Amino acid sequence: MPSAPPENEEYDPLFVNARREARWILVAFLACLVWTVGYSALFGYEIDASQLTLVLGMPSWVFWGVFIPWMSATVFSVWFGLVYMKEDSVESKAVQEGGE
Amino acid sequence: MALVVFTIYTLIVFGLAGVAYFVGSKKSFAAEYFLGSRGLGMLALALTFGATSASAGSFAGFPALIYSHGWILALWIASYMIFPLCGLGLLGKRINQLSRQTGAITLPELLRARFDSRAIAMLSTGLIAVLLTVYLIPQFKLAALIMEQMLADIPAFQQAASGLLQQMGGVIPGNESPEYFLCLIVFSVLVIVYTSLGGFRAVVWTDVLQGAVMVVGVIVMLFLALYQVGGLSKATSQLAEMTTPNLGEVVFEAGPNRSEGDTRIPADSWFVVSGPDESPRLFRTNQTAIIGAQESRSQRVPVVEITSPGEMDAIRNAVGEMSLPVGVRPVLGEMAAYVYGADKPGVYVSAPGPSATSTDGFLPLGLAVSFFVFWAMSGTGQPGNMVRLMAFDSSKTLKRAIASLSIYFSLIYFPLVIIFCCARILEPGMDQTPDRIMPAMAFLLTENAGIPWMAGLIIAAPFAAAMSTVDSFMLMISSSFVRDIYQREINPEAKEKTIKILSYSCTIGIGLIATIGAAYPPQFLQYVIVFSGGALASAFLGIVALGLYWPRFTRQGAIASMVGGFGMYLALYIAGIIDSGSARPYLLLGFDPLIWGFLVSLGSAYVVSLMGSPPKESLVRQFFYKG
Repeated sequence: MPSAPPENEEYDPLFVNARREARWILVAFLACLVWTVGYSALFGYEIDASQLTLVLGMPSWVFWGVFIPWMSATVFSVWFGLVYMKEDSVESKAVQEGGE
Repeated sequence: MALVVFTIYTLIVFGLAGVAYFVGSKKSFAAEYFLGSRGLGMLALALTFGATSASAGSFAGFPALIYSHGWILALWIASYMIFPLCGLGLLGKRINQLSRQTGAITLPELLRARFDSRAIAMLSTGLIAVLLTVYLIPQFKLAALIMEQMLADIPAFQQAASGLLQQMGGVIPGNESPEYFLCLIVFSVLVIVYTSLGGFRAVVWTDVLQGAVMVVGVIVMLFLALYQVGGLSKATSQLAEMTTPNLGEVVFEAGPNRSEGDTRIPADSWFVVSGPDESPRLFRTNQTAIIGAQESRSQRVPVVEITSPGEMDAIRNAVGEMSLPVGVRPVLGEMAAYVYGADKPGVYVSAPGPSATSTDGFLPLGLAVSFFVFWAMSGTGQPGNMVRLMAFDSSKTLKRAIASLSIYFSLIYFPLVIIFCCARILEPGMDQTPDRIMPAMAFLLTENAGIPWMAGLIIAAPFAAAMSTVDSFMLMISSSFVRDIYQREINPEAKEKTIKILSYSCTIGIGLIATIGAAYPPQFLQYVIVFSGGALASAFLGIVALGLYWPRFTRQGAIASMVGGFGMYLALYIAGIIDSGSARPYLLLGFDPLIWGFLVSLGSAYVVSLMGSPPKESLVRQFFYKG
């Protein structure tokens, strides 16, 4: 008869940490999607060539809508990887207990 | 000179495979051959993940798209900004933990253990074997094409191809050149031998080399392109004034005063024709035309007509005198304007970008959303990437690899957009054969800079990308047969020697099948790549992600997720083929089939799991609870 484990048992700490980190990664993905596609939709489509402005040699919609979020996402990813993520042990329970 | 650099590169690849063979020979065969004994460090994990993700398409198809459509490709590829975090961080820790816990070294093995289901293992093995084999064929073809372009002007290569034609003329497919066939054979032998010999460790080590070659190639090209075009502002301003070219065909006719023998009009020749109002029209051929000694006309060759006045003046100043061989005159066929963007300055610097075939432009908003989701989620859902997540040695390695890969991709993909936007200025009029733009730019930039030997290194980058994808996928398919079918279902007590022989044989056999497929390639290569990549993600991302994070996910829900996701994806492709008569998917509400496949996969998993009984307590306890 299938049933759930007792409520007083604790989840594996790696599972808990990985699930929390996965949620933040999905939030970051959605933020990048909204910023990049949203900004480009508002300012990048059907531009009149005579109205084009450049920033660092790029069309301004590429600079603010792709380049800046790209740099921001890279900085965030570096911080997330090096600082935020927990350093959990990935060894199997059997190994941790002394044998496999 | 390019050949020398290329030969050195090839020898290093073989050397690495040989060393990997000796290093791995003292360890347990299956875990070593298919997973490198789970010993990947930071650099190896980051670069093998990056190099495998960056297939030949990244260095052949992607530059061609930038060249053809301009700055809009920055938006098209934008989700690579977050792909390293998604691809490594979403599933990495849990996949690695569970694969160690269960002893799994392949994805089907992991799924079998997680759901205690033979049916799921067999279904996933079948999907991986079929879809990855399909994916391999265009990779072999693209690699052979890259090699052919690089070696085309070298006399020794032309002699070898002629020799091959004499020896094997009956075997070479009628619509492929002997040069292509020779390159395909060389590439296949190379990649099959080193993958079969060294297994996963060789693939990872060569991936590290290939990943380094790719980033160095791109950075060198970026500096050379920006210097030679006069700065990015100048290039973008010139792009903003550009209008789309007209595309068509031309036949060359020889008059009575022609020279003796065959008359060749080389590819990329410029010529001018007077228009109806006597104004000059400027054209560039995109393929070599030959008028035989006994004939009066050449074959039809593709031609591009430049339409922007400023661009025409710049080309005339740069090229100087434009003349065809004596006694030869062009007869133009009908020239077609772009469906979206013709006579519209600014189309190369704005969205949705020009399109020769679609009235909505290259990237309408629905597709922009689709591609943002596609690259990040499709990459995360690739079984080839998931296997790499089973192989790292600690979560510290994973953390550092996320940081390294994020920087690595920033140094590759955005610079590629800049380089090939500059290519429209530096190497105009290649719109009918844009796949040639990568090697063409490599030779142009390095020759202009007085360092032609550097072209060999730059062109090694796309070749490296093809190699690293092909070797990884060959090993994945081989592991599916050996580990998931033979060892699990047919002979669980198989000796290590038997497994070893079978593994080598499978890897070689799969390589040969892909080589034969690439000798007779399907018509729509790019669609085959996109289709098989999307199909794999539709089938596997939902089941793996929920399997790792949702304790209530049941066996029945898992099957529904995999079948529903793949089925929806396939149905939209079939509907598109029926609707349009070509190999294009049906874009329901303007979104790519991957989005619908993924939504159906998640929805099916949720509904079917909650409708049935909860999973066994022992499974939930094993995979989600302490102790």
